[in-house]
Amino acid sequence: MYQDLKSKLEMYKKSLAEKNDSVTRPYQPVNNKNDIDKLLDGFICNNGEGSCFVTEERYPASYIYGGCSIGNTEMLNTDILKKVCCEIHNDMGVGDFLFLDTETTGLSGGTGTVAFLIGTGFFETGEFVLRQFFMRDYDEEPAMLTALNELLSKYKGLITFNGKAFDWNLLQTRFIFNRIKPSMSEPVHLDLLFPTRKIWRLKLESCSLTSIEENVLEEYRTDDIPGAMIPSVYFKYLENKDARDIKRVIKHNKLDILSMVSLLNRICSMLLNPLVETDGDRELLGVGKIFESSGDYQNVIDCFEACMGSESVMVKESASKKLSRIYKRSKNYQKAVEHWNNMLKDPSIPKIFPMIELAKYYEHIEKDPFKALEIVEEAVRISAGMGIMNNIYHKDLKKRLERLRRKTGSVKNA
Amino acid sequence: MLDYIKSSNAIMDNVTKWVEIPSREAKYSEIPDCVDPRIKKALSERGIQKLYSHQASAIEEIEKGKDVVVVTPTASGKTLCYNIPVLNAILRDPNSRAIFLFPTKALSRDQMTELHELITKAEIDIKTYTYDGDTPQSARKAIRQAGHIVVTNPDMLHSGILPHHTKWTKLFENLKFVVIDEIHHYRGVFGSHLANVIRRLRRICNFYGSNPQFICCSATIANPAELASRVIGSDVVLVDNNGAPSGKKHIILYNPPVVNKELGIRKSSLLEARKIAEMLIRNDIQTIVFTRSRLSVEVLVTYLKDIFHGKMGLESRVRGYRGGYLPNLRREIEQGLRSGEITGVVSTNALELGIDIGSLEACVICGYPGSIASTWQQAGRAGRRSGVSAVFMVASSSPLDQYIVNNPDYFFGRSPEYGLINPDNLVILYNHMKCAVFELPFEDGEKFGVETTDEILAYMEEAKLVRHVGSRWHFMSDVFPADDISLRSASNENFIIIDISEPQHRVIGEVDRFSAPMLIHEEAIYIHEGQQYQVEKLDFDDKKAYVRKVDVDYYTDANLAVDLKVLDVFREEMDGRIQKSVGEVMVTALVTMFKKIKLYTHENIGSGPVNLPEIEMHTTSYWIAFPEESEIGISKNDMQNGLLGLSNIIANAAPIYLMCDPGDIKVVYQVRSTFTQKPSLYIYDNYPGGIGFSDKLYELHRELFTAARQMIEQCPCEQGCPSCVGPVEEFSGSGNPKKTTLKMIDLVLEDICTRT
Repeated sequence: MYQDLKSKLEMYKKSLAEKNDSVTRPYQPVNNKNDIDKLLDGFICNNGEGSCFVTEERYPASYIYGGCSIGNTEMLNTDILKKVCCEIHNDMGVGDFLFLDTETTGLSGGTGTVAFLIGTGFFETGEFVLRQFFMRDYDEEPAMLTALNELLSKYKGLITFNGKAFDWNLLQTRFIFNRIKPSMSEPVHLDLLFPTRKIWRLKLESCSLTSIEENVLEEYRTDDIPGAMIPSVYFKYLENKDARDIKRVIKHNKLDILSMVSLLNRICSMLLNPLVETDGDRELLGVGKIFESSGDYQNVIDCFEACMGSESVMVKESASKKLSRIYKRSKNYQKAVEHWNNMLKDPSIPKIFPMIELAKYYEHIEKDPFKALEIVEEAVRISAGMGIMNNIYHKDLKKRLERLRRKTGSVKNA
Repeated sequence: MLDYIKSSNAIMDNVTKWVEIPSREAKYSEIPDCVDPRIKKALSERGIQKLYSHQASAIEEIEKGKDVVVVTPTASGKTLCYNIPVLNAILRDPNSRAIFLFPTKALSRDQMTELHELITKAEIDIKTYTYDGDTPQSARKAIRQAGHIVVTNPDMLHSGILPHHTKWTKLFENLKFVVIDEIHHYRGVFGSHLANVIRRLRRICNFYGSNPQFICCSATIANPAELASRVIGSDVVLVDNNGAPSGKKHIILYNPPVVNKELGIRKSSLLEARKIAEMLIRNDIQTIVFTRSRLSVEVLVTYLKDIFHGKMGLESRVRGYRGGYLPNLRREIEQGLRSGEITGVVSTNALELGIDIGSLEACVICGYPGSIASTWQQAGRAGRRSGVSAVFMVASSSPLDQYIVNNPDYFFGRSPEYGLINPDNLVILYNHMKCAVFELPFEDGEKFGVETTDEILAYMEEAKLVRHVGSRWHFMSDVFPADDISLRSASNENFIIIDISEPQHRVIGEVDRFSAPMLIHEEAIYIHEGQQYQVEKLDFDDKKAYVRKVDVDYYTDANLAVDLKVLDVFREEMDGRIQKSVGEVMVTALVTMFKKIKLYTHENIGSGPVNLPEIEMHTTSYWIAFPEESEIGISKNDMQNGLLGLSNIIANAAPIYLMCDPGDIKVVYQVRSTFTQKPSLYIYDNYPGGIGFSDKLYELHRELFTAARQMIEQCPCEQGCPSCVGPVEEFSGSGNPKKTTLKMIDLVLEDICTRT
């Protein structure tokens, strides 16, 4: 009658919702030929916490990736970098940064997700060094983090792609978990995801690194391992220590880092020379937005004015809105009014926004409430015909209309 | 008013018991010396110069470093029992941190307000934050870093805090207190889950080098200290010297009149409650009415609003209050009750927990809320500290309600209800171990509540969930285990019910896997909040049922063939001629067909096949084997009827001793059991793995059958009705099912009968 725990667990399996059949499979005998150190050029790194596997490749500055030599990235000047990331100090250059990208056992975050491969890249004596740290099992994590920590201590900042939300966030968790004090506590963090989104959101369906790689850098991967499969590849490796697929993961990670190097260069050259380096108005509009957030208004105006010839209504509308706001803020009313009037003339651009702006202008700057009232009355008529879509403006218009009526009434009475 | 009622025969004829609970004087103690002068000052500004005896004892025990459980009735100032020691500790060491756990969001908000008030009055810099699903993302970082007191609920602790403990290092390194309020709420499945969440919390605290003290509060139940220590996994000191004063209270048990004696049908409790509430509200007595469902809240509010019909503006003096109302509407109603603008409120148990609505004069409870603890909490809403108040308990015709109104001693005596949990339920334990290993690897030899931790980890390794390297077990999967576990159900196997009547589909309910074939097979009529729905499609693999609103004059009843196999016997014992046992069973249920039954007339108007797989469940059961028919001299048919009557009445009697819902335990009988070879009655926990209900009933064997006998004897029907052994139509042959069932019960209680 007695049942052991295992058979009980088997019976409960339905309720436990364990899908995979739990067939006991003995570990495969280790196949030396496919050991990681046989398949890959690398070395075992030993430190006080144990050991882990490290692989390193050095690329000359002249190495071409993503359409230009990677050495160009090292030469980028601080002024341009500051436009991409405002945290950057005046005395910092690309040489102060470590490129970083991790491969993990899952995407859900939380303390049960582990970064098993940490890829780093840095410029050193005219070369780009790509160094990857790999844990061959869970017990190598402290050693791997310690090795990474040693490297981190030499740098002031990080360059990542979505590292703020993911990679660095996860590594901080891993450091705490393993009670290792990270040598870089609050790094200057240039997360390429943000400028990338600004520039390409209007143009590309996806702003993932893979999409940028293909559509912008024009690099195509062969035999790449899809990101979603990476955790299971690692779990399988842990079981049989056959590193063939891990080799593909390591390559995947390497290409991610090279893409980041190239992407940074691409973004910076667009900022240096927006009218030449951008490909189409949508990118130009995006570059303009980066200038806008870094407060570089002359460049913003150049980019946005260049967008005025765009065939895309969306680009044109968005650029004129932004431009008119900048002109208004700098009290260049003549230019601002010109933009609002141009928007009104364009049949494809919705009229409410420029009308409200013009009404404000006539009411407050020109002190001509009658003219303002005329415009608002017209705007209310248009807005009424547009249904609920324009509801956001409706309240504002009504308030404005009432105020102007009162004002014009009192002016008349006086 | 009460005199008027006493003189009114129309009412008094239905009153089964009228008890006057005299007022109680407060018992005070000095504020203990350890309390910081700033807190003392804040208390005195609130008019508190002395503490009630239980508050002082609690503070002293906590000061000694003990884990405590404080048992107090409603409105006895239990909040101070934990607020004072926690604030005190933070003042002593500003790094100290505390977690407050409340079962509902509404309650946490209310307690926050009170805590804030105390902190402001004391002019101290202690930061308290609510951290739950509503907390904006932007505020979360600050809370993790700076909050001294984090107010949250078990679900959030389980899925939002513990799995991300590295973000909460400040909290876990300095955690001094964990406060669990309303701990009697955590019973059954919910409590079994919480106990495991606490096990996980303790592991994490251990990792960060802290060892928090636990402060629990409970309503009056039979085993508060046992329940608390099961939940927190360590011994607790019981503090129950209640020193709070209370006003004179009239408790009136009211049983609606019988309208059909043969069938045992009584007048609707809802209509009777309406009558009483209307009388009170008309006389401008501030009244709260508790009903059991959201639907009856709405119905009753509509009725009661009629009182003020046509009087402009006065209709808003009667309001409803239930889950599903928006927070600001709820606040408005709570405020209206405190200020007296609202005279009558009809609520579900949403207002049962300690939300501050001031003190009302009268309370009408429409239908027994399911446990004595709940009843007293609801009753506590009337007359909080001084003044006379009245509570009417209006019984429905269910057997349990009938038992309550007919056995006032049960109601007014010492609480007989046990809060039970089973933290070692294998399914629940296993799921939390997944979360635990996600949070921190297990060390070899580490125990997670049970001795068999290593074996379970080894099983997980085979399932490729963990990996053993060196001396540790690591999580090895890309899932986030906490997402798959709901603290409110035993397995993550519930079927969801989707209403597709409108283009916008919506989920209206859930049914557990085991009940699904019976309740939501295709063509079944599923009733939700009084609305009929027909199941159009049951997607068994994806666990979804699609239903559409219908209006038909029948309901469906599935033929369920339940089979039960005994797998293991834990304990057994002969008691007179009866053998009782407790052990592990496998229950299999197969639904083969369903009948359409006409409402009111109960005619069978059609049937259909059901093609669904057999459902299996492993759980714990307590069973009783009777002597053969020939030995006790009854016919085979009577034996069958007796067992059927017993299974109906026992299912209804069990909640007298257990705080459980009617669906939590099931009873089946076998005229000849394959295991005992005798006529047998099986009572089993309706959760995979069992929660401990049947275990406890095994111990309470005689009490259970005694209560069942009382329930039958006190029922006025002649042969049987839904209020006792079940409707007569269910029985076969010519015997009197009531008498037959009583005979069986006598057999169980035999030697008591012969002794006395």
